[in-house]
Amino acid sequence: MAKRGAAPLQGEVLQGTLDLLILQTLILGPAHGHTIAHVIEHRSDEVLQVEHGSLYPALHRLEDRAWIASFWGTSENNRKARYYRLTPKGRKQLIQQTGRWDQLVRAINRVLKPATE
Amino acid sequence: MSWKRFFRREKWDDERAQELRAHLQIEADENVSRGIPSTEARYAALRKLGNATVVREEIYRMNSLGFLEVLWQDVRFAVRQLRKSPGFTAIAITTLALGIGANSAMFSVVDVVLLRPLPYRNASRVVDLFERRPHENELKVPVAPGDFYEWRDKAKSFEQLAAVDDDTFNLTDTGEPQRVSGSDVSPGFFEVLGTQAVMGRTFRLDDERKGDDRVIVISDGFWQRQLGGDVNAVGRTLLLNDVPYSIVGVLPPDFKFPFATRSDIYLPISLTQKDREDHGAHYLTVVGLLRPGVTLNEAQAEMDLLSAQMEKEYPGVNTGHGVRMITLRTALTGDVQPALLVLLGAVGLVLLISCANVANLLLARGKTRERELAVRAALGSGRSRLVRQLLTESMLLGLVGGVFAAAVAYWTLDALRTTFFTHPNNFALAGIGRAVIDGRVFAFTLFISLLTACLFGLAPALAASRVDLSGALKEGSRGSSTGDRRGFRSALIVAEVALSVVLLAGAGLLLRSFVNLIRVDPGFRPDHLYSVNIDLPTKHYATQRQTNVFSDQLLARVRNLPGVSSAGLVDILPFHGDESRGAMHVEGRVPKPGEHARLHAREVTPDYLRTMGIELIRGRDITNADVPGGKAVGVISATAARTYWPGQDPIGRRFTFNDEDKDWIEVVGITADVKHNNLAADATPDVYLPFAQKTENDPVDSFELAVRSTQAPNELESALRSQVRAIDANLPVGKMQWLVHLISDSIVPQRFNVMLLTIFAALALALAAAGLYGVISFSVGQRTHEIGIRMALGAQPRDVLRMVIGQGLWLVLVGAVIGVAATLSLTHVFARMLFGVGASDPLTVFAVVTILGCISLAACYVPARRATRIDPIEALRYE
Repeated sequence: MAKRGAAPLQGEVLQGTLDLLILQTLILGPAHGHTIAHVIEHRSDEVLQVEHGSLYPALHRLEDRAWIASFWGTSENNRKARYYRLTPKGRKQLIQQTGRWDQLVRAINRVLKPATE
Repeated sequence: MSWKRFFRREKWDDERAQELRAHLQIEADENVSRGIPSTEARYAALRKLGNATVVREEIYRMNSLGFLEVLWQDVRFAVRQLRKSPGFTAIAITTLALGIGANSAMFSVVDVVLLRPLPYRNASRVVDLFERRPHENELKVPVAPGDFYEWRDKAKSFEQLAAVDDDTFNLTDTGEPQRVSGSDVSPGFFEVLGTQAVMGRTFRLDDERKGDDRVIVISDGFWQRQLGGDVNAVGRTLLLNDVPYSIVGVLPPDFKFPFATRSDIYLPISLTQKDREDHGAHYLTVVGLLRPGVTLNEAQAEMDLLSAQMEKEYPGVNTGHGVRMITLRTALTGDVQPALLVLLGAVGLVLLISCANVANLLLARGKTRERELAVRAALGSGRSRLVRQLLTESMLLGLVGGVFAAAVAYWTLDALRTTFFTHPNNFALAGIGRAVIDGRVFAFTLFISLLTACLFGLAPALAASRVDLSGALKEGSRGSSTGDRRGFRSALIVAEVALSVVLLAGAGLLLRSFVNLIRVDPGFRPDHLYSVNIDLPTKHYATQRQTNVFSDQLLARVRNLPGVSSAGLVDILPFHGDESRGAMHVEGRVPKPGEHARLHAREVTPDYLRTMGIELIRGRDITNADVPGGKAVGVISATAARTYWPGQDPIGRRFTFNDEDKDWIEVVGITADVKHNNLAADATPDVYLPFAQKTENDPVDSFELAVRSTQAPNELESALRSQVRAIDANLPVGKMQWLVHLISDSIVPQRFNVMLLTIFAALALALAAAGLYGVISFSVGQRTHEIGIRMALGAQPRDVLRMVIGQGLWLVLVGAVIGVAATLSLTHVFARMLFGVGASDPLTVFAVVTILGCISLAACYVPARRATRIDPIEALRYE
């Protein structure tokens, strides 16, 4: 309960960001948790280090909202793994959220740039 | 959050664990492929993942509904706790089931009588109209036809007014001749109640015209029973009193005219023009449908004005007459309402005592659970969490108690129904027979169970949650919060005792009233006294001479039956519901303005008084010499003598029912008073007139044959039937009645009240005694150490006994004083239900206190006795 109350804005922003990254990763096709974590790390040139554990609550939340769906499958090296795929609802969300993110980044940049120049 | 996942979250969690394991394996596989040794690879994977359990917990929490989760936990814990102490649980649930069940049963009765809408479409606008004679202190006089027709023509407050008169018919054309009850109604009757026929029609205004009135509407019951549910019943003809009537309509199955026990046949009231202008004979029941928007008070104001005009227009007959209007609800339930409310209050008190008892048990349990609660508090349970847990236990007790209570209520109502509700009396009138245990009653039971649980659970929960950690956890400590709690428990006992005293006193007063009531001398000897009703159709018995021929033959035959010691005829037998009287004039007595002398007149044959066992005080009985055309004579009752001939000898004096023609009737004898319908009512002025002398063209067409016989009732009944049939094969004979039953039926409501209140009081006393016993035993258990020391220091068992019993009796004394004070201030509630006993009767109070004292002494003695057996050495070592 204490967790929920702590720094909601920050938490929300970060959480939203992770959600966005997961959705973006899945646009390439279904993937299991491990792959998702690594894709995010690689594509951010290892800047965004995802603590693998925190990925799963986020996946659970997204599945709850029906933005992604899951199924059991077999991994590249023949391990049983849970795969996630994007739902049409999730795709719509991704577009919307990406737009919002761009807006946010532009806005923040406009505020920050004059100071650094 | 999906509910599905909430209930399957164990399985869901398994899957998460599996998923996380897979993740670790894949990561480890990759690490190995990068050339890291497998143990190291596994640790690296684990480090990378973080705390898997925290992840699972987070997801698990996302799948649960916070409060529901806790509730479920609490409920399971509560079930475990309750199962751990089956004795406590059983006692608590039994106490609650009795308390709540009695309340539900009582509620089902009150609900149907006082709360539910009456089963008539227009019920909310229907009023019952009476006449009243304020100077004679009479408020419920039936309406005279002259008054009714005048109201109907002139009153504007009503959409419709209708009159009803009870009637019975001889039905002769469907098999064996039989008696059928019915009602003569004015055509607007069904319109007033809002009832429509399911087949055919009800009455039209023109059905009232003489000649067009040979139509009837029948009840559903009659249609099923007599006509076999014939779909072509409308249009069929029935012979009633040897006159053909055609059926025009069949009523809905649930229809029942409120003021009749059973009415199978309705026909348009047929009154001659002379009858319609009669303002003196009062016998009609009148119901009216108020116009929408007109209030009872507005209508009453109009009727007051109208009756004032009528007093002027018809001086004499209408002088001193007013109109009294009450709602249909009040008319039907007014008589039983006060008693029902008193009983509902009483049963509420029983529930309060149940609550106090269970609260007491919980408090005692709280003491023994002090350590458990302290441990939980020490481990981080907040106070609100502990209270919530304890309240859940109470709620569970309440709910389980409620379930058993529903069963208790069902059986109770069943018992009440067969014992009390089947007789024709005030209860039947109020529709009490419709009481059922249904959804409403269940909802009430549920509500009251939860309310009760809060009531008995909250205080103990709050007390128990206030744990003193350091004290409670110390080994062997007796805790430090007991003093305060013992005070609360004592207060509960005082309250229980006080409530019990109120109930016991109430029951005692009703019991004394009831004993007084059944000791009332009805004025006749009902044992071995039977009666059957006989109606003579006026078509064949048009004159009193014809009727006399029949009655002489009948009596001669009946007197010769084996076992019959005497027999007589009367037009209206006591306890047959009729209260009609006639206005009369005493020779030489000038009435005060507005005053009417009235007598209840009975037409009797010579042997009637002897058959009934009505004592002849002076003068002579009606004899065979009192023949038609002979001198008109009458035998009056003691009350009539005292009222109208005060300080004189009435014998030889004269009076008349017909002021114009001066048909004087001479008083020839005085009898003891007789109760007509109500043992509790004051005696009325009566006169017995010779049956044979009834007006030639207006014969007695309906009368009772009263028989005193030692014969078995069923043999007597068939013998009487065959004697009647031997004289006239077409005459049906009504069901034979035993006068003893008629009298006992008349006091069913009183018996209901006294029995229920006595049961409630006994229950209250038992609960209070059990509570007292519990508190004293518990206190003895707590004081083992102290008592041990006292005994070691030389206290004798006698001293210990006195100390423990003294502690209990002190509580009882305080409770009794409060209870007696409460009773004395509450008695006005009872006053109307009492008979022959004062509301603050000292004998009752004394008896109640004595009974309470004895029971309390017994309840305290057992634990006190145990205290004297405490072995000081054992007690001191116990530390």
